Parts: sequence; C-alpha cells; structure tokens
Amino acid sequence: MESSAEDRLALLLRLYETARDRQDSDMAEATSDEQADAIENNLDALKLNYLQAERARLEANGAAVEAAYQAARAAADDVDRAYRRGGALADRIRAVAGAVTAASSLLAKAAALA
Amino acid sequence: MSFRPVLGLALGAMAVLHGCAAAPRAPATALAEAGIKATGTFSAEVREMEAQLSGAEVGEAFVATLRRCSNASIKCREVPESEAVKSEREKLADVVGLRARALDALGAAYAALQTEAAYDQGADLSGAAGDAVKAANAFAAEAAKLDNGATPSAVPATIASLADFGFGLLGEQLQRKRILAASRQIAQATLLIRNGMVDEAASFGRLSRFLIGERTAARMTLMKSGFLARDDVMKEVAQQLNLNLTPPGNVSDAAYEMALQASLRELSRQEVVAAQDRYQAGIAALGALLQSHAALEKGKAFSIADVDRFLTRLDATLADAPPPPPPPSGQ
Repeated sequence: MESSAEDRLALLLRLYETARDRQDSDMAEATSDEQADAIENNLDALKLNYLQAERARLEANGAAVEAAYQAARAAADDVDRAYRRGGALADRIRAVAGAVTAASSLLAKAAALA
Repeated sequence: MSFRPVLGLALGAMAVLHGCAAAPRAPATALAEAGIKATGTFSAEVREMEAQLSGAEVGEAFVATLRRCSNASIKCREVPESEAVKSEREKLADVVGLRARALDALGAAYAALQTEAAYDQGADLSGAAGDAVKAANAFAAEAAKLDNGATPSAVPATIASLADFGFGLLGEQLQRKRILAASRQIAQATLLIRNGMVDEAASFGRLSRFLIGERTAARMTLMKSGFLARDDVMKEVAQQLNLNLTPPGNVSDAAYEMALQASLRELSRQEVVAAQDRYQAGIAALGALLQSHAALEKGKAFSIADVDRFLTRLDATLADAPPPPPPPSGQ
C-alpha cells in the first residue's frame, strides 16, 4: 500500500525524536569535537527536515516518492537497531547521518509540488 | 497556562424562538455569547502554539550549549539554533498564527452580533461578519496553498457543509432580516474555520507532540545538570499517583534519575493527548455553534449547553496541563 502524507510526516518526526531523545547520552560520550559537531549537525538537519515537511506537506506521489519513503523507513530501523545494540558512538552517528540523507531525499521528492 | 473559570452564565440556557417575524434577539444574544467564548478559548490554545513555535530559540541555545559544555573532552562553545531552523520555525508559526487570527475575527463578529442583539445598538455587523469571512478565507487559502494548490475557498468533499449542520436555503425573507443574515454570514466563516481545523488536526497533533517533546528533552537535560530540582519532578509524579512520596535515602542515584526520566516521558505523553483532546473539543464547540446558527434561522428552540460542554472539556484539560518550566534566566 502506498504511503500517505501523514505516514511520511510521522516518519520524519520519529527520526528527529529518536536523535533528540538520545542527544544527552550521545554528547556525554563524545570524545572529539568532530563527534560533538556531527551529533549537533545531524540533529539540526533532522529538525529542519521535519519543520520544512510540516509546512510543505508531503503529498506528492509516485514511485520515486515511495522509494524514498521506504529508504527512510529502513534508515529509521537502522538507527533503532544501532541504539538497541548499544554499539560504538561512531556507529550510531553514522546511522543517524544515514537517516539525515534519507529524510532529506524524502522531503525533496514528496514536497516537490508544494 | 492559567485556569480560566468556565463561564456559567449561559450554561444550559435554553433559547426559544417564537416564529421568525420578530428579530430573534434573545437567542441571538445567547448564541453570540457562546461564540465569543468558543472562539476566545480556541484562539488562546492556537496562540499558545504560535508563541511556543516562534519563541523557542533562547531555551534551545541554553540547553544545547549546556549539553555540549558538560563534556570536558570537547571544546566548549555556544550552540545557537541554526538560522535555517529558526527561520523555518518562524514560517510555521506564521501559518499557525493565521488560524488564530481567523478565530479572533470570528470572535469580533460574534461580539458585533451580541451588541446588536442584546443592546439593540447598531453595530458594524455586516462589516465584522465580512471580516470574519475574509480571515476564514485567508486561513483556508493558506491551507489550500499547502495542499497542492486546491481552490482556496473550496471545502473538501469529505468535510462538512452547512447542510450537514441543518441549514436550509437562504431565502429572500431571511436576507432581509439583519440579524439572521449576519448569523448566516458568521456561520459560513465558522464552517470554513471548523473545516480547516478538522483538515489540519493531524498537523496540530504532530506539532503538539514536537513542542512538548522539545520541552521534555530540555527538562531532562536541565534535571541531569542540576538546574531543575528532582523534587519538582517528583512532586508531579506524586500528584499523578495521588500520594505523598518521599524518596528513601537508600535509593541509588541512577535508579532515581532513570525513574524520574521515565515519568517525565509519560507526563509528556499525557500532555500530548490532552492537547489533542483540547483541539478536538474546540472543533466540536464550533460544530455545536453551527447547529445553533441553523436552529436560530429556522426559529427552532436551541440550547447552547453543547457549546459550553465542549468548552468545559477544554478548560478542564487546560487546568490539568502542567505549567511549562521557567526559562533558565540569569545563566
């Protein structure tokens, strides 16, 4: 079944919330300025994506949109898995960065007409 | 948010019309009072969201900087909110503000109706009603623009029409009656706003969740850093359990903090549900107003108790909502 605009917006909010709710522990674990910057930049990008999506709606449809939505869902699952496993901070940062890329792509494709 | 006592003046008031020949002043007054209350209460709720969206950067900068600088291994520097995020939040606040302005214009139209009906004084009734329609259309146009360019004034087919609330055709006789004609115009604005609110309920729900989540995340950071007393959070937990709780001396620090953190998340979830419930109560109050407008036109008996019932729900949840934490001033 094709995703709805509500599904896409909910996913972008979930991606941001996951990163936001772990930023305290992530930042406490950071051992370099680069890691700290990456945590902040990822969070900022996810927040921006969500806010832009909320204003633009995400109502465009089509195969490219659906592929972007599925990729963002997979990225969200990767992030959840990375945190559940309690892996190294570098791995978690990488997983969140992947989610940023996927979320940006979903926003760009689904909001193309807005 | 402060508790607003439920206005009981018109609670349960039954307004009865005796035919259409005379100007229906008493029921129109009751309806106008209900409209003023409903729009005022709903507008306050929407404005609260607008304010939270447009004024978050100070707290954000404090908490983000505190978070970074609490780690001695990394370089401490200020972490202001990015310009892009700030700008996007403000744009979103503007869109939310349109809803509030439409509700305020509708409130002004109800106030003009009240002046005309209750005091038999000439108010700029058609001007106020026209302004309400204009503001409602601006809100609808904005929503439609976001909705891939649908016709601004078009009400989506799945959303209610005046007929759904019991309105009949607007006859010539009706148009000659000043109060009834204004009532119909105000009803059209009420319908537009109500439908827009229904259409945007999911967005409002997500934004509530986003804003409450932001506040909760900030509270957690402040609690861990010692800026927010654990006792304050404990008080909220005790209040929910309706018990007097005293943390025992032998509970581990980590256990206590984790338990409070879990409670904060749960309190946040409850707050989101309450905000969504308030929004639905506001929509229901507008729907009840529309039914009263239809009854007024038809000369039928109507009660504004329904409007009051929804406003009571709105007020009750506002009273239950925990106050937002004070801004970290002086740091």
